[in-house]
Amino acid sequence: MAEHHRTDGRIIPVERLRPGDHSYMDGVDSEARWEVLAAFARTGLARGEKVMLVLDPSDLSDDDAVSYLDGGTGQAENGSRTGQLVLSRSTSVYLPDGRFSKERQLRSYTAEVARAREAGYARLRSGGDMSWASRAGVNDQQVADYETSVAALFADACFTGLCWYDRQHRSDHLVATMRNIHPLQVMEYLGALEVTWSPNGARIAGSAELGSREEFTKVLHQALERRPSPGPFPYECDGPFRYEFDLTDLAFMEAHCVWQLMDFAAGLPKDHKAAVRCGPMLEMALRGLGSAAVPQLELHVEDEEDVA
Amino acid sequence: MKERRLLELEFTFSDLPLVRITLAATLLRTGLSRSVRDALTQAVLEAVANAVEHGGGKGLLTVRTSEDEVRCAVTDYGPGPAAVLLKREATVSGTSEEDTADEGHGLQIAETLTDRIELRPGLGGRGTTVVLVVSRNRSPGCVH
Repeated sequence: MAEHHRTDGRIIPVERLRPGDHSYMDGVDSEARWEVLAAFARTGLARGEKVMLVLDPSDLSDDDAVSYLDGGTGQAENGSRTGQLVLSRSTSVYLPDGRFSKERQLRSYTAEVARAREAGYARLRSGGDMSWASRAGVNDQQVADYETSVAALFADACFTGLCWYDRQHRSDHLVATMRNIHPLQVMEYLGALEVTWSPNGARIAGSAELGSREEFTKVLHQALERRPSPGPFPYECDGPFRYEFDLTDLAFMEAHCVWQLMDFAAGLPKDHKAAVRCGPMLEMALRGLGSAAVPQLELHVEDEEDVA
Repeated sequence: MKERRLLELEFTFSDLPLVRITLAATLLRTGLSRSVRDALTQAVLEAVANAVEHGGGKGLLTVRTSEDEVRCAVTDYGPGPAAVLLKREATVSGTSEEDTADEGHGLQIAETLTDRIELRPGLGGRGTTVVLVVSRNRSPGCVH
């Protein structure tokens, strides 16, 4: 579980990416990255999007990559056959003549989006390994300029982008710059939790499931411990407290964790509240297990556009 | 009634997050409404987690669709008889408060969010197949 105290930027699980999102991911774990890419590709294929992955030449072969993305589902293999899934290498995409040109790259992606739409796909979804830049002598400032300039490509929500940077081979400065430039950061691990504390509670992103349930329960306990001190005795002067949990980027919550959250709220004094912001799926799970019977629990549901 | 298989996926503990996302992506292909897809996804994932936790650590997920309904089958390889059946009995008969907090809620919510659950013991009394079914005419937002 990663914990943050910052308030800028948004860290989300890959399954929360929406059309028009320009996102960034960094990491050192190749297996974890491929899991994220499989999720990225499978979701795009099911949504009727054209999926383009730009891999480093040293990465998996095309056959192995398609096999991994497919995972026995048949979906990526079928997409590869039909042209819905395209694998490219970063050298041919970014350095076709051995040199990088920001303007040429923007024209190229603009044309790719147009071709995808003309071919009948809902939109283009592209993921790109950015390791090529340092090897080609493109400095950090040039990479930053390029990443800043592509913002216009995402304005009409016909393009979804995921750029990934290897923390082992890129400078800390570049990684920090990329985090600032991209509106969204995608979590490195599927099924993990990302916690950002606030004075009254926490934003919990990711997924509360079997592999992360202990961490989820721990966050609830920490929320109790982190509550601001009620001040000097007598504590009765302390007013009702309102815990705030932002779960709008929690993609899934298993019944066990739903129950833990309801139990947390039910254990609060009667005049305290646990205010939960969440999407319709979490609301359904909470109501399905009887959240209405917990008066300390307030649900604030934010609607989400259905991208089918 | 002609059925079409949309997904057949083996899983273990480490596969669960990707199984979740693959299931959600697969259900996009069924034409079900958003709320019904979400409900079925939640219900099926409870059965998938149950298979890993109590049913031998691995399982098989199959999604089939027909004109009338979408059927998701989760088969575990537990020592049997049917871990999930035992959970159901425990929920019905009542257990200690602590047990109740930990067990039975997955099945409870799965029953709430689907139209029908079929339980089939495996061959030789080992393992279970749980089939979670939603009708194509299920109303969005319908919670049983």
